[in-house]
Amino acid sequence: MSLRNSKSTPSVDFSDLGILPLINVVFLLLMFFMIAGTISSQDRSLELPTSSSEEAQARNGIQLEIVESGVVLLNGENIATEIHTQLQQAFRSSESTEQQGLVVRISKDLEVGALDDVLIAIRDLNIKTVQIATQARP
Amino acid sequence: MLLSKPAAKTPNISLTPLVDVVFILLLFFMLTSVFESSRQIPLSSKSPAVSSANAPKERAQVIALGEDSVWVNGQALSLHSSEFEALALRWKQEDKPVAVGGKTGAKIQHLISLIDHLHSIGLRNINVFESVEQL
Repeated sequence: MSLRNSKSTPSVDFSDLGILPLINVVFLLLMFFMIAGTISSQDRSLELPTSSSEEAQARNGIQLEIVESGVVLLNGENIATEIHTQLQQAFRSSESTEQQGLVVRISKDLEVGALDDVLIAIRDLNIKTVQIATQARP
Repeated sequence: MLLSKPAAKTPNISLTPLVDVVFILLLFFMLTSVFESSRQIPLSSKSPAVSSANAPKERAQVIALGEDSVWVNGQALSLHSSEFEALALRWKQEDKPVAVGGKTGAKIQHLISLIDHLHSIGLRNINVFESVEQL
């Protein structure tokens, strides 16, 4: 007795299903997400303040982050105790960054005092081009 | 004599694993992609971006107190009050540099909202100073 009924489970032939348009669409979607999207870093400790500014954030330049806990990061490294020297070194290391300036990314819920040390360092080093990173209002 | 060889059998390549992988990649990029780009507010390019809290006379000074209140010319004003708007417009006409800061306890969002509001009025020569404890 045959246990398998070949009529009830016919083998699927993809060429008959017209599956190629589906694969085309999926490929196009894949290309769209790969090109247009940027992979989020899931950094929940840094929620930027909102603004109505239309100016896109510069990708280049020196990025300084002050996260929720008040920790100051320069290129991902904690520099809380030596903001002045580390910033000075960062600006010395590349001439091009002088023109691109400094982008300060600071958590919106921090008190203004959290910015004081960074502001003093910026003033002492006479950094002229400073941007504050924000996010678009919802 | 055999003149032509029998046609070689083409292997039957299944598309299913390829489609599976593509779907997984698609899911990955759909879930991890973000399209909102960060914005930025530039500080003054004419003068140093950061100044001292001891403002010289030729510079206007505004201190963020809270969400919608600022301290200017010795009095607290609403950020969106007509009085503050008039002051800001006068600074714009006079091309006066504006120094902004925050009172201890005010949040970064309040300071940014103040700078953003001044930007929307048309003031561009804005620099920041450290937080102040007493007004």
